[in-house]
Amino acid sequence: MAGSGWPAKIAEWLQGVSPLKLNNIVDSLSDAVIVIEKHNKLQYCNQHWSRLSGHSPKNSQNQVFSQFIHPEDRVSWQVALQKFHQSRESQLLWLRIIDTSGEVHWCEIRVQPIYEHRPFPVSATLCDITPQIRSDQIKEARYRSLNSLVNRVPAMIYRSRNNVHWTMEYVSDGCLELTGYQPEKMVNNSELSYGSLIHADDREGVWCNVQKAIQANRSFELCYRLLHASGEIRRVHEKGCAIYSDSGSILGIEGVIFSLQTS
Amino acid sequence: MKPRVVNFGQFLSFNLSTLRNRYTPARRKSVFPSVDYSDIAFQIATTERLSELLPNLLAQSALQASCHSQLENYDSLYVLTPAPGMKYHVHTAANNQTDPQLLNYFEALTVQSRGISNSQSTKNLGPFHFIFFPLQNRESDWMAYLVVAFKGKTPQDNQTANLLRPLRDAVQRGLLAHQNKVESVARAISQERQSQAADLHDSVAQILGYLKLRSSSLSALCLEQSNPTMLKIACDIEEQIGFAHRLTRELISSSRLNGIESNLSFSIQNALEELEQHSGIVFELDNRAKEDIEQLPYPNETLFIVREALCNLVRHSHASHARIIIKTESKALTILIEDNGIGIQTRSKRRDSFGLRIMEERARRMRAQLTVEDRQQGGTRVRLDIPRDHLTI
Repeated sequence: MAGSGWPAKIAEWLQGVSPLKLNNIVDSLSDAVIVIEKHNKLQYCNQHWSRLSGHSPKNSQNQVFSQFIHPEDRVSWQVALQKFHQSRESQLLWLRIIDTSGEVHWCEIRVQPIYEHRPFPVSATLCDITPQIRSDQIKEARYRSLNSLVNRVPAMIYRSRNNVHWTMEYVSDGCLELTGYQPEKMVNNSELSYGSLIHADDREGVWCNVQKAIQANRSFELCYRLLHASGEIRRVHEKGCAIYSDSGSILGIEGVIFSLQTS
Repeated sequence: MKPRVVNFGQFLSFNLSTLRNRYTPARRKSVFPSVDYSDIAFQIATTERLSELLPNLLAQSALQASCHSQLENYDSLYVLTPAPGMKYHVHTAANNQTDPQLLNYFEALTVQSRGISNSQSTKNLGPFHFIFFPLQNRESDWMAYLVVAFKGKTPQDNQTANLLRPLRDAVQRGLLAHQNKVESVARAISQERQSQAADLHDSVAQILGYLKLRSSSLSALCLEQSNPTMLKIACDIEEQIGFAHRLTRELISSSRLNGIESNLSFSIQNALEELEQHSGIVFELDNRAKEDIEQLPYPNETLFIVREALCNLVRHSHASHARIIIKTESKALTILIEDNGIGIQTRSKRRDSFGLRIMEERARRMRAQLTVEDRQQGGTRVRLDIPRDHLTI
């Protein structure tokens, strides 16, 4: 067993399983399995480690494990290892492994004790989560791009409930320029309602025109006066439409409101 | 009883001298009487080249003789000042043959080294024993050290501290004043650059912008009148004005941008985050040379090349993924900016595009090599190789 790369103690520990069978099982796993000795040295690694890092198990043996880790993640690894030694509890960490071609693989590494009362050796499994990370990065980039686009538009983009207060579920950053109030003051009428900012003489007209349009299942376009936080009355232009459920009930109103005067 | 007549002048002079004697601390007996501490502080404060001055100051025969005579087992004195990349510059007496073991030890110290802290501490290394005296700056955000090395047994900490306190205070005062001076010069340069940028913007850039429009109209007119000779000249003028306009804009932005915020890695990260907000591209920063990059002698030039490459990437690459890899190779520090877009060859090269020329010019100035090429897997790779012998030591 020791000759096949496994520490003799692990072999004893796994009594009853033939060494050949055990090696085959560990090599068949789609996660990398490694055993780390004192001074952070690799004592054993399975076949998947080679696929992940590009280093053969033979060449990896006795190498310091940190040298395979991205320089920026080495400190986190050391910290996780220290925590593990202090608590003796399994530690989970995301770090980057650099393969022989210089490519980076994001890995979820889990460190476990082998012996209850001995600090070393420890075993660790590495799961390649690069596709998951890439997919998350793409989602984040799409969200970030859309969010910054919506918030940079020089207008207020909104989604509101269809009630006389026009309770806002979402308002873009353009709200500040248009109304003089921060978007969060408007969301869910936390401090004020959009309806209260519409000039008293225009409120009924706005309500009626929107209701007519949504009953007819078409978009609406309105011009009315808005009370700005500065005390000014500003003329605004709004284009919007209702959002309907499958059953035809109105879920809310979405649209965009522009100021008709330059600031 | 006859009243006692007291001379008012005598009374006053008596009381003043009593007060002076009582409240003016007795002039501290200089522990190294032959050392002029004020001169040490003054020289450090006013020097242009700290690393040339400190070895000479530490080598002063009066200082060395005093240390040898009054500090048992004294070996040498060092001043450690913070250097880029979280390291320390090690300054020792010019005539001191420093033991290589000691030099290695000091050079391996980093700002966050365990055991060297903001309080006086003692360390051992083989036959050597050191006492670290911290020299703090105003905000205590960086730390220089006065280090005294002993070969053999260290004298009592307190005794050494008392003997070296005036020297420590002088070096600290000098370094503080030196730091203030360097900061005010940097501030003045920055203000001057910003004012030049404003002047350039209001004068030359406006005129060049106008000329650009007019030269473009001139070209269109020549084309309309089918005059090929005139058209050739007009196009040439238009191109040169375009280049001059772009160069001026570049100068303005270089002057306005303060460049490096705290370190180059951080500035690149900031540039990346700024561009992320304006595009849907997935950016990835893979920095494998965090220490080396901070030692580059041309951080501003490097940052501008990276910024320009990233701007081009956002504007022209049509990429969905981009990454910056910073790594140290045997002969160079390499910065790779790669994307998975349409590549450089397939992009139509516009006559009025001067970004690449300016990047090349900047790279040449820092004796670095800039390569822009298609990637085998698709997309573009901008590669900046900065020779390692450029890294400041």
